[in-house]
Amino acid sequence: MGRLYWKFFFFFMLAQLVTTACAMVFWVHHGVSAPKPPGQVMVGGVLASLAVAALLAWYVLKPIDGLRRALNAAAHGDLDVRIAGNVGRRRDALADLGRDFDITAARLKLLMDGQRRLLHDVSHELRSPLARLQVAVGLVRQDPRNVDAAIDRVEHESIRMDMLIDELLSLSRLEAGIANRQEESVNVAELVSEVVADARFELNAWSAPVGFDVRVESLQFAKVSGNAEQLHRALENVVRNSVRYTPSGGRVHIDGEYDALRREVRLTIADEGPGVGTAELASIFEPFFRGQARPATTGHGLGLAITQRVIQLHRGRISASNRASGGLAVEISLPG
Amino acid sequence: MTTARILLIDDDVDLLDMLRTYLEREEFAVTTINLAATGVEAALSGDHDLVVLDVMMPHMSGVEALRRIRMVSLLPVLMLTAKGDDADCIVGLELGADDYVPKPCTPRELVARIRAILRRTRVGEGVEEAPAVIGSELLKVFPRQRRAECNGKSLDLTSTEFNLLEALARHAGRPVSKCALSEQALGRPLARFDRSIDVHVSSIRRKLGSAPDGRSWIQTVVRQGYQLLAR
Repeated sequence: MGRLYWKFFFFFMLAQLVTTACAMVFWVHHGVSAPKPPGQVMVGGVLASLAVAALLAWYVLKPIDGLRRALNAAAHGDLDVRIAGNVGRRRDALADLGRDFDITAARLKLLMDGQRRLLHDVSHELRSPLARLQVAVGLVRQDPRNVDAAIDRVEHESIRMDMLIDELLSLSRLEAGIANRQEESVNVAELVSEVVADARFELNAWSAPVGFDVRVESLQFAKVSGNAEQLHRALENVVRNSVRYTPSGGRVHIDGEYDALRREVRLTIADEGPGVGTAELASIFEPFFRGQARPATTGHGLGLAITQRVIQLHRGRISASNRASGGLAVEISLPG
Repeated sequence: MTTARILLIDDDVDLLDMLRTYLEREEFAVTTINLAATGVEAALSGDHDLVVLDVMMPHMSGVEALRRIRMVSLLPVLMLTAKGDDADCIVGLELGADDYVPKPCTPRELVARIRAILRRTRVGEGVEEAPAVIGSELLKVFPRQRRAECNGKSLDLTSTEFNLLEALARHAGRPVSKCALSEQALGRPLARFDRSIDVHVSSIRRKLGSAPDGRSWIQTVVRQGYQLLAR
């Protein structure tokens, strides 16, 4: 107990002494007929007032002391400390303060763990291309005739790393919520057809036969307000993901509808791939999550995380489910 | 010397293909598998002399795969760990990995580690100069057969653990430095802050139990290394 305790103690005691003194003065001046109390009673009174003052000061200071210790621990990086246990069954402003601290610490811990995991995953993800580059160099050293393949590899890996860093930066900007300044009116039907056109173009380059079923006529006049570039990217990530998991000859289905009642635009992007395990459905929007059924051509695992952040920044919702006929369906709702 | 059969388990298909090419040119027979669960099955099939196992794999981590391999087999395992992630290395070694290589590494380094482990694993090589049995009455090491006995019971040691015990037994009663142990058991110089030897020694201690006088068979000699009790 520090200085504050003694201050409280001093003032409580002072208050009691002043009260007693006033009573004495009143008593003497008005000549109360009762006999004066004996000395022991006076001393006992003073001692009792001391004890009460000490108890009161302790009662107020104890939770503050606990809070201070918890804050100190948090400042030294220990976010597991909780003070709800110390507060007991108290129900007052100090107990509320303790509970607020607990909530803050839990939230901070969650955020920090997330960041730590992300950093860990990022370093792994950046090291994978480096590991391949090192083996490529080793192959050239082993046999200089491998040099052409190695140069291709260097080019390929550097593009991959560049893309990864690009995605990381946009994810981090989205996390910080600073990229959403330019609000404009975006036509969703147009957005969908742009994304599909791009995907078709890329598919031609891969020569993988995947078809598209696009039904967004009902969105012809539907507009959402937001950042067109971000929304394009968000949608593109989902469509690319669907294309990647759809087997050759399969189709990607994109359906759009306008919910006039809730005033929102709803888009469903479904593929004919293997789907995702029920237990993993919630995690597919986490950075660097990868499903069990992993195709040969892989992304970086950041696409859907970026999509989720964009949709959330536009006050929308995104969810994933397995279709009854097989494959994954991602549903996006945006306020229109 | 017959061609050593290497099993590579890693989730990175491109890396596996390139490593396979590299190792095949170094005259190893290589099998590659990109799923930990299938990899464990293959490792237990008995068709391989050494497993190179990546720690960071989705769904079943390399550590878990190693645990499953070690439940039934003492096959030499080399772990590929993320550089700077000491926890993974230590856990891997505790579970009985023979050594680890931080990833990314040059393929030359990987081959050197593979050779170092294989050189010491192969039964029947360099047998001529090895004595038949070393150690004491209670703790016997048979270098030619690569096995050890404690109180008449055969010990289940991984090849690295056996190498360490052999090196200690050769100098029983005298301390052996960690550097020397690293050279002899792992076939590589000890890196600074490398705790591999300590981890291996602690698992050997666990397998040996305590000597008749209650002390640990392997004594730590401060700043000098480890020493095997002479009796």
